[in-house]
Amino acid sequence: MTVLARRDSIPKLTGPDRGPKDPASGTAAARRRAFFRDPATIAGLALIGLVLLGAIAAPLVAAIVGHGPIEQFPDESLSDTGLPISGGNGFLLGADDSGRDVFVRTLYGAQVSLFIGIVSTTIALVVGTAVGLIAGFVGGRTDNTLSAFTDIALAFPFLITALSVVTLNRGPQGDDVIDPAWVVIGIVALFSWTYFARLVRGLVIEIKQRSFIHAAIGSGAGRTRIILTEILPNVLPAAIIYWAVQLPANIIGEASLSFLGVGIKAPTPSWGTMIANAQQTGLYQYQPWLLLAPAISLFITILGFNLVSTQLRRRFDPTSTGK
Amino acid sequence: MPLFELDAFSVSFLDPDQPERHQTPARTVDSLSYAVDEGETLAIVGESGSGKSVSLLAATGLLNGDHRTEGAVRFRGHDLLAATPKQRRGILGKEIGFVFQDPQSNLHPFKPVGRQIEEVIAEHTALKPAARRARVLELLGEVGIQDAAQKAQHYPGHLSGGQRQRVMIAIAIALNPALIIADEPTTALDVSVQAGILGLLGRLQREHGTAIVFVSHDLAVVSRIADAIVVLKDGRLVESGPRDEVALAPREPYTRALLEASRARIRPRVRPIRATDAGPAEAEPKPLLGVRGLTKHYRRGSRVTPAVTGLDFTVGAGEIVGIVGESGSGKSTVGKVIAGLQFADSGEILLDGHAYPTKVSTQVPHLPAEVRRSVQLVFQDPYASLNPRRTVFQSIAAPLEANGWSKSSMRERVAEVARRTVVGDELLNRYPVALSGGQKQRVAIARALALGPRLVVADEPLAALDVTTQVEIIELILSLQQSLHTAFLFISHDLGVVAAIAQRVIVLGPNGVEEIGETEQVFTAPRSAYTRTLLDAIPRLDEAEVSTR
Repeated sequence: MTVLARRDSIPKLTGPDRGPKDPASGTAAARRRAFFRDPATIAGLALIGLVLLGAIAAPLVAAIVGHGPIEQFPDESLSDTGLPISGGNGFLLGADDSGRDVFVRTLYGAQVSLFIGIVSTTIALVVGTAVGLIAGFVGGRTDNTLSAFTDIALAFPFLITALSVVTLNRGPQGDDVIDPAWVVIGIVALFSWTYFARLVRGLVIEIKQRSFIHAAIGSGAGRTRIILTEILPNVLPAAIIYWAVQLPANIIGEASLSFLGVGIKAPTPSWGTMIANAQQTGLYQYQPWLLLAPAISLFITILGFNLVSTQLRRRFDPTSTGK
Repeated sequence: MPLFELDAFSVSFLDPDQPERHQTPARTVDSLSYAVDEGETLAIVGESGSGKSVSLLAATGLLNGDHRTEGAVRFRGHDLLAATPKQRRGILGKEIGFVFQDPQSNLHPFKPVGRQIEEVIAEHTALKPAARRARVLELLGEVGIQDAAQKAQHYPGHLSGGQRQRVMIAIAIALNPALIIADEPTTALDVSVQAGILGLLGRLQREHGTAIVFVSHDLAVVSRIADAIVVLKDGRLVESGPRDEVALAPREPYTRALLEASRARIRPRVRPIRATDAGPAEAEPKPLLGVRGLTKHYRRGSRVTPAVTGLDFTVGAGEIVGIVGESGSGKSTVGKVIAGLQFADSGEILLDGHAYPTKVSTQVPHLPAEVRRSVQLVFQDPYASLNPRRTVFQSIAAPLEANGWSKSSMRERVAEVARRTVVGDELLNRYPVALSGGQKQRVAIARALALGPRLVVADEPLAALDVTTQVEIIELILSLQQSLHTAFLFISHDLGVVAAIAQRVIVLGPNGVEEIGETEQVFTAPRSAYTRTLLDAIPRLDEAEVSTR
């Protein structure tokens, strides 16, 4: 309502009454304020902050306790029978079966999860938005072809495709041709760009009917200019909000691949490989942190991002109805 | 006891993120009181934002969103605000019927209209299916839909706007309500269709003694139908009284301004613009725009619908030519083709000596840059015509940017056209969401003028605006024509508006051109019967007209 109050003397008239404004459609500043005041946002941001802090502080913690993420300390952390301790001796959350510090590895795992999640989701955003913009704006045969590609990409089974790609990545000596982290990023991006493409295509088809696009065409603007300056700014907010929605799913995707042994490989610390290791050795019965530390971290990360992205969607996404 | 009554009724909107008890929001509707007796028609008039719709929606419990109401709403003496949802349902639909502005969005798109009427009857009565269907046909006949048995099977999308509004009215009167609340029921309709709907409401009232609350922004429209008029501004009552008092001898300056705006709109323009401009085409050897044999068909699958066939006309330099027609007459198609957004199927278009390409090769016709620059567009819906993500400055500068202007010359040019279109400096950094409808339309005109076009095609530029704003925009266009010598092709369904602005008028009927002539001649001595029916359908505020009702 502040907008109404600020208007000058020219009567504030807009044709036939359109009824009251949806409360979710207030001024941008008011919505931003409401967003940051919401308890769910605050809790989500706190959780994300915790994870970020862990990821950033990982090398620092490693230096303080003197345990690198892949260094083994069998003498200090394994009992006489070879079972890992669950705490003490400078190991906050105990050690794994090879005598590595679970706490330090969990913190480094946050780096891997965030890195792969953020990079793959961003690639998906860029590719999907580009495809959606072109398909939606050009239409016709181009749209049919690109939409067919999207449907084909959606039809691939995630895990089976991932397993085959990893097999293809084996060189003649059984070593990896390219860094498995990039393979995981590629696979996860491959399976999430389609959602962005569909979202953006739908928005573009609606926006290109509006008269400001006709005005731009009528003033001699080229296709590229129209797509970049008139359409993109209108679809980007929705795409970015969807980025935040897709991110936790992609973090889980990385963890799943690593858990199955086709993603990040030991000894590199990833929450997925750590959970897999705990499960395979069965040692979590003696050393519960082996399983709990990566599982709880994953839970906190996903919960944090989901809380924030739900609120983002509720407050800012023009395509969602709000509550 | 009045039938329906608001007593010191106030509505205020709440911020959903704050606890209610901490809020003291501004009142959108402030201490409003009025009453309707049985069989009476009360008109509520006001501009958008005056609270005329909000007050009725809140009073009947139909308002969405967090809000607070104060005061009382009584229907036959029962307090509607205190009623339980079940009691309220018993009254709404059965005792109070609703007709809204946009029948398109208030009818279910995937149900035949007959079934939608039947549902209301089934909900509130114990009639057997056969009796219900008979009643549906009776109702459709009563609201003037021919072929009722067949039309009842149609989906809303297959009916015209006027027919859909008639179906909405059939639903509203299905249970013989004591009161019909009609919220801008004719705003989205053509003038002749509007006259039909107004006549229908008047007849229903005479035959059934139904009371009507009629909400509108147009004093001329309500003066045709109302017994009493209430004028609202900013949620407050400005003036109320019997129709003849308010519409003919208003006491308040605000009501007088509304009245003046309604009158100005339909005063035919007779003055020539300049001594040097003899006006009509024969005085100019070479018109700015020459159109000969313009034909355009729309193809959907195998169905081909003609939009325009064999249209000939000219627009002289600095001349304003109006194209009038009802929906479906193809007038917007003409505008799109002239503006170079669509190909014509056949015919010749010459702008300033340049011929438009005729071969359909690309999605959008490829016009030489200088032709593109000399014809620009203004659209109907100010909400859709500006990019919501760009500021006013960026919007006006967009055509310049597309034509490679430098930053500094762009700033100069934007300032220049903003001054001419009375877009204040303080608006340049705002986003469209912070502009009123009239301001948006000014910005759209400024954008169209940025490249210094010789012809501006304006497609229903006033249709979404209040009457007072319409007059402002009309005056703006006239002043631009004077000072910049820009020609306008002004497309509208509203003969009254065209009369006030155009020097020559082209009347498009359902079967093509009905009449082309100078405005004064078309208005005073129309040659075609179709033009005459259009003229008769214009709501007027003349004393004679009002008193002969």
